[in-house]
Amino acid sequence: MADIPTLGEFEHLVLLAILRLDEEAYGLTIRNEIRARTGREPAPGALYTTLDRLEDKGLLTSSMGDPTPQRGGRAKRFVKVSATGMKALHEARRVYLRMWDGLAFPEAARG
Amino acid sequence: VDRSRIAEFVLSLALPAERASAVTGDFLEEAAARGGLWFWSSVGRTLASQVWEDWRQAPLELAGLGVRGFAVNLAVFAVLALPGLFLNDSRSAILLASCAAAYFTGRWVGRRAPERKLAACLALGVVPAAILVGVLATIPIWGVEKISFSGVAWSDPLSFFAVVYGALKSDGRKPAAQG
Repeated sequence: MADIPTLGEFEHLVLLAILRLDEEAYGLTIRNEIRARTGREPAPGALYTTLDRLEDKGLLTSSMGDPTPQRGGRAKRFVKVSATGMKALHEARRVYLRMWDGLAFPEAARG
Repeated sequence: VDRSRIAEFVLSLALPAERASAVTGDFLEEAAARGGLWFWSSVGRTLASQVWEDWRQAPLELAGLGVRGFAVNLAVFAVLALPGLFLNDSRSAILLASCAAAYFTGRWVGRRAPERKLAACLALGVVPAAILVGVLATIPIWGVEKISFSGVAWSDPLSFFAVVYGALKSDGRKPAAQG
């Protein structure tokens, strides 16, 4: 387990958004997915530095798509969760579930 | 002027060219709904965030580069400014030498930090300035007014732009081959 990187909260959200988007995951769609599901507005700078960091850690891979006219002829940088990224997500989920297990959450605190 | 080309140019100061292009494309796509102000604020925040991340990841490397770049800048400036001292208009010659030295220092730094150009350019100014302030603080005999900060590579806007332009013009070490 020691070789599986631990995830920060935002890294966790980004990886889950990428999983949900499957083949359509790139900067814009990831930001939109996080905004739609969490109600938070991710800062653009934070998102791109996080994507770079996750790639450096080996948790995702990226590839360039074809240029499109609505982007001024610029290509999209598509990203995918790697096998190591999947392990890190499973580990993070396992840890969260174990921490939550048996806790009686006050009804008033539910959203 | 096409704003996306300017944005891509600005972002390429802190990101590899391919990523700067992709990020600009993302902003361009979203700016269709959110407008120009959002576009430029996103470019600025991404740039600031990237420079911060560069410093967070490699503070010693960048600080070392700042010190070495400062020495390179002084050496180049000394060589270029020397002939100017014998001219009638030595002030202009020294200004020219200062800009040329800044340009060559920018190229030198750009080749050593191809993916952290802006952070490295900032190191050229911040690190020597911090050292000078530290020296002044520990040796009270010297007065601040007696120390000239003109040797700092971007002590004036013109030199700073020359440093950044030089960094952009550096070929840089290519990233490791992919695949």
